[in-house]
Amino acid sequence: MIETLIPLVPILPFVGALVLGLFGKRIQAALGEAATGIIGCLMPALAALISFGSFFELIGRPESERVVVMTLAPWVSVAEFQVSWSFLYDPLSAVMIMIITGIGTLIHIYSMGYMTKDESFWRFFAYINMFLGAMLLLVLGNNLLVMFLGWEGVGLCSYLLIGFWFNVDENAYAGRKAFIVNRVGDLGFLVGMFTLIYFSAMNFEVVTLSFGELGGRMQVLSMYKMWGFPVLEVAAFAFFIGAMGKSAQIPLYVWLPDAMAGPTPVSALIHAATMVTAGVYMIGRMYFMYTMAPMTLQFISIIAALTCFLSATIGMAQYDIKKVLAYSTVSQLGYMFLAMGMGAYSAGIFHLLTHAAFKATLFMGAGAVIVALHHEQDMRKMGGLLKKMPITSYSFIAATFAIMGFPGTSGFFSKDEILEQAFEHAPALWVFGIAAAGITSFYMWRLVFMTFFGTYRGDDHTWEQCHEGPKRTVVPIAILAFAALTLGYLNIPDVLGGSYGFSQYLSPVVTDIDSHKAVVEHSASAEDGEWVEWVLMLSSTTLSIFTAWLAYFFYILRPDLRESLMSGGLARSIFKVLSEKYYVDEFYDMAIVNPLKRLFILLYSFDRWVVDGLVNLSGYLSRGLAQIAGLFDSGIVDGVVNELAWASQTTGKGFSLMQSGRIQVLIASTLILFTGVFALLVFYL
Amino acid sequence: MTLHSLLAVSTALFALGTVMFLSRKNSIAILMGIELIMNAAALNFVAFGYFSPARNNLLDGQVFALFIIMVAVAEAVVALGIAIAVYKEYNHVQADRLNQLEG
Repeated sequence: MIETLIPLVPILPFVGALVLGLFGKRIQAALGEAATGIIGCLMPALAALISFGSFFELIGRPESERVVVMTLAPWVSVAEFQVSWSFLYDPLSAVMIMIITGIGTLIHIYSMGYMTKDESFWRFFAYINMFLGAMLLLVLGNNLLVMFLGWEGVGLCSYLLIGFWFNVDENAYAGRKAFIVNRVGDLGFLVGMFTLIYFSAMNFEVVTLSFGELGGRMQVLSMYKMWGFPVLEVAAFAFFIGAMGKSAQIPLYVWLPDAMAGPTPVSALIHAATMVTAGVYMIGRMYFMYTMAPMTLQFISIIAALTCFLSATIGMAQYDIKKVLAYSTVSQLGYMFLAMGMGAYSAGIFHLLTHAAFKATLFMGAGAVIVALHHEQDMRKMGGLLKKMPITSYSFIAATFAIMGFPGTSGFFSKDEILEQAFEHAPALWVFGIAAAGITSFYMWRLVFMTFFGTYRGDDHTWEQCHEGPKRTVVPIAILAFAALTLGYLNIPDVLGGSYGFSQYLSPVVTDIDSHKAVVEHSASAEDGEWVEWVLMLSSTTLSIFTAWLAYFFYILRPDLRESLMSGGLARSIFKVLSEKYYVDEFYDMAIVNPLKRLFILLYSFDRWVVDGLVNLSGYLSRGLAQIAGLFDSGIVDGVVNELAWASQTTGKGFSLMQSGRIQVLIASTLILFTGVFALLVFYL
Repeated sequence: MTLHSLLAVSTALFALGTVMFLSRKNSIAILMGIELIMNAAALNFVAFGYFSPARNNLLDGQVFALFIIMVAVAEAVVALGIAIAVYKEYNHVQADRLNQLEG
């Protein structure tokens, strides 16, 4: 079944996108919104059905048969360069497509509620279907080129959906910003791919980009150097730049908070659950290369720890409910990359899975709140919504427990796993990680208290109209909230009596640098290691609960204390720096955007005056030259011709006088001539 | 009687004929000039024939002279016929005024 049905998984959403893109407007006009939405949801739902069915078939197989490669058709076939349209279905991509189609389908259903009464309803579903197709292509691609196609496809759809309401300038700007920042990263991806192709071509008969074969070639490629660095370091670094762009890591994270300009389902699906995790997935997929590039891994973990910590601090000082979640996403992506950077790939993928669930819940909850309050996103004008929207609120709170890492929820298992790994590899990074965990808990509870508790701070009219959304928005939130609470039990650490089920499941395709068994064996004593793990777990949990209590204290118990604290000098200026996001956007404007703009102006004036001037000058010159040539032509050339004609006419006339017809003149001249010639002959011969 | 005196006569005849041919306007007079030139030529033939170093065929020159006389007769017939026709058309035979075919 897998072999026949999996290729349909990316194709089905594309079909949906095609149908809606071509006929959507007519369908919406003729059959109404509901039919359009059902068509839009049908394809992802089918894909999800196939994904989950295939997963259960896959885990039924023995471990050695769990990697399925489906080659559909050749794509590029030039001499030794062979790339085909082929899909790779293995435990890693199986998990990914379940996340994408599962959450994707729920969010599609949710969108039917969220996007209702939008005149471009059909366009939204066409785009988001296309996004789903591109994302599935990215995840299922068996070689780098198919992956890159999906990679670019999701970038395009992200651009289209961020700027979905493009008649507001700000949204269009945010879309452009996302697209351009992503291009910077895509260049890195391309450079990495070309590096691999170049060194593959040097050493092997046939250049393929498929992951299976690349994995086998790493040993050979690792012997080469490029610009003084090992080739694999260079390639891994270049690919990581791609991941930085797509997955919003420092310094390319700036687009993600702005991307919140898009509709909230888009933020939930693309900018929280799926697309932004593409970089993490890519590193997981190419783990064989990263394992052999320790310097790059170190770089990744440092960048990730910084991203994780700094964006969490920014999240503390935002008032826009979606901006908080956006910085939270950047921060959580930092956790994933932290895991990747330490070679704990399965932990990173596991956090990807749990994060997809709880962050999608949070975004969808936030979207429900935003709709209920007539598109109000400022948390200062919310509060007390628990009474009006109980299901949404409880789901949101459940997801908040998950993201703070409350014991027993999914975030607890995935985040503690990463923190534990960080502590083992680099305690300095662990400090960042655990600090970020504390801050995460603070700003999430701050958000919850500001939104769902306390008293409502907006106008009364909105409060009276505010109510729980329809079933099609509430049910997906509840389902995902349940997933956010429970998904953690897939990977219970051995300290808690589990066996790292998720890591074991991934291990045939994604091998951690030092897997858990090895850790346990190598540590001085297993009990010693366990003791450390317990302490770590307790400390991070305690810290999260403490910061959650801080949020409760400052936002519910003693708001007056917060006010007085905030009015002070230092706290106020720190808050200002944080709420202005460390002035990174301003810095980029100053350091990159404005110099570039000035360069454009300079180049434009150069073009205008020098290049155009040269062109015009040569135009004038050649016109003058042409005039001279024209004079020459009409004067000398034509003159010569005319003169010649005149001369021959005149001589002709002169000679024609001889043809008088007077026989006597003729004879006389003949006689004279004859006599002359005769005389000459006689005298000179 | 020497070849030279004979050639002198024929040269004189040729010169007279030429002058007459060139100077007269009347077609008849021109024809007469032509006759003189032809006779000068015939006299040349006869004279050279008579004094030819090749003794075996003495009559070559006389034969040519006979031919010339014959051609002259035929020519006179045709030319005078033309002259009569021209006269009937134009009422004159002035050669320089017969320029209707001039280009």
